[in-house]
Amino acid sequence: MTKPILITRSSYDDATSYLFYYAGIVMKEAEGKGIKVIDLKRPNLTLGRFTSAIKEKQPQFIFFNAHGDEDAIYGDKIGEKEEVLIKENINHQLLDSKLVYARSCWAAASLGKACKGGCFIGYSLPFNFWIDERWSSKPQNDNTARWCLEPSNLIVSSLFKSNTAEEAVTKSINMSKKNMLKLLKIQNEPGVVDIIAVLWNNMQCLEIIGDKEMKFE
Amino acid sequence: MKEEKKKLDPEIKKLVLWRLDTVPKHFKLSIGREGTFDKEELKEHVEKEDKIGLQIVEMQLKFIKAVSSGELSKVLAEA
Repeated sequence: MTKPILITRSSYDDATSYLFYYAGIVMKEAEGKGIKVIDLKRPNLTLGRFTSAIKEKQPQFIFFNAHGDEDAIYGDKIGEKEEVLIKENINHQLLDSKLVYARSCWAAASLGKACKGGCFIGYSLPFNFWIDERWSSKPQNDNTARWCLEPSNLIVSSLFKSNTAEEAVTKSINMSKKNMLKLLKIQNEPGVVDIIAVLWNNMQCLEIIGDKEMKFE
Repeated sequence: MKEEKKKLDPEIKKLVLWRLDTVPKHFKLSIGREGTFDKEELKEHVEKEDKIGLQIVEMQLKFIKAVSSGELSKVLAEA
């Protein structure tokens, strides 16, 4: 039987509310496939709950939807402060031997490289996306954000289909390229080049660190 | 001795500001923990040459270089 997937879903600003919605889509896919999901969101998205979920439930795959730095990934915002879930040289060993996809800025630059024995998929620069502010309270209706966020969801969907980490990332990159081509065919649509630029940059800083052949199974 | 902040090349700055001018008014760019910014805010950060502004410049320059070197076209032709 497949081990569970742990998904962190913070939601306290525009960026995290979009990630929350898009992570929900793959969460439903997982449930449809009979994969057990540990969904960490407010009020359970705390360092304590996160740590105990990893230690007690032993998820093989951890999917972060959060803000990040070169050496940290965050959870919820408590008061004015974002709580750190993973910090290099403090508790990054929690991710050792795991399959990790960090949909967060910067985390592959250093934190991902510190994790041993597993596979860390992440971004070595900021993971950016455009949103249409007319739809910012309804991410499901925002067709601008879709161009950049759907390719990132494909990494997780592909891992659910027993693709290796490398195959999943390749599929995501191919989708980004196809999105760029589709955008180029749209005429008289302002903002097309801006979306292509962001897709390009996200593609360029997407990294797989560790065992590229690792699968979620 | 305090290191002097490196100034952006004025021509590069002008180029990036011009690029940002074409961003639709209703678009906002999410830049992680830094926040979400519309085009006027993006331009302000570039004008100030602050951390966010320099990130925007770096991103725009990488893309412009990929277009002008033919790298983007090559990647898309092989898609």
